[in-house]
Amino acid sequence: MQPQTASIKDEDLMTRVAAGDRMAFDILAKRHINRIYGIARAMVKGQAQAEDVAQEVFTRLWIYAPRWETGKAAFTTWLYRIVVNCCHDHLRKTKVDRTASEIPEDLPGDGPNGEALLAERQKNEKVRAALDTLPERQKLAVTLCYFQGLTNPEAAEVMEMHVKALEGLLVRARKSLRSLLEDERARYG
Amino acid sequence: MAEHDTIEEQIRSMNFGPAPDDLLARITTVVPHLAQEKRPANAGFSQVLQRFAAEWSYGLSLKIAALAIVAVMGVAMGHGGGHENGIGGLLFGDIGVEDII
Repeated sequence: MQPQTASIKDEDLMTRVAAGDRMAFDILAKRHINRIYGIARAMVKGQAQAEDVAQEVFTRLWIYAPRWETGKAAFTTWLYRIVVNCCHDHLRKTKVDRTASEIPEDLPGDGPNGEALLAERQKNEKVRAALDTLPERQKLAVTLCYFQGLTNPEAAEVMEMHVKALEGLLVRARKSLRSLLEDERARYG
Repeated sequence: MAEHDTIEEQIRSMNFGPAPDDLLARITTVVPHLAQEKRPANAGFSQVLQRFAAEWSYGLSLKIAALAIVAVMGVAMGHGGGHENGIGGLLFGDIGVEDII
């Protein structure tokens, strides 16, 4: 990112996006795409689906930019809420259309890092598979707090719930994950 | 606690890598056009509705409900009591505060 754009605040960029400024939109997209894509990858199955979710997030950002008001909520909280809603909509849709989530991903090639990539992907998939067994809200709480590194109050604000309720979700999620991952370790070593 | 750390660490260590370059390119070129098509045609009226819905809060509903109850009770007591005495009479000016005290 260029140094002159790095100093522009998200809030100022949003005001410009609301007025239809495409350059401001490009800067925002570049700044937040990895985080959004990361959440989508943890929440939905498959790279292509995660890309669709990320695209939908930015479409909504552009559409709803005029609605966003400075001072009401932090920009990142507002953005995360859009991501949460898009993931929720996608998961609801794929419950009806199961075929969309069953498209296999490309395997890493035979390059010098192929083996390491494969090992990392297998590790990711093992944790992801365990995450997939959780109810949607538990999965989201775990993704926001542990994978994205949000604090409990921040994640609770994104999920529009009380911090205590979020902590309850995390406790239940950890319990389920621990038993799932330990079972697997016991089975396969 | 150590077990909790292990699970949290396993999730934290998940790494899907950065978003593909073509995704960013697609978003920055396609989204503004796509969004233009999806944006509601009658933005003015819908924005008024959205603003009203956004500002309508539980606290405001409670205040309005409380005011409505007080108004209904005042009218009912005033008419029911024939304006002669009690709060109804006081409200409609049939009696003064000194008559009650």
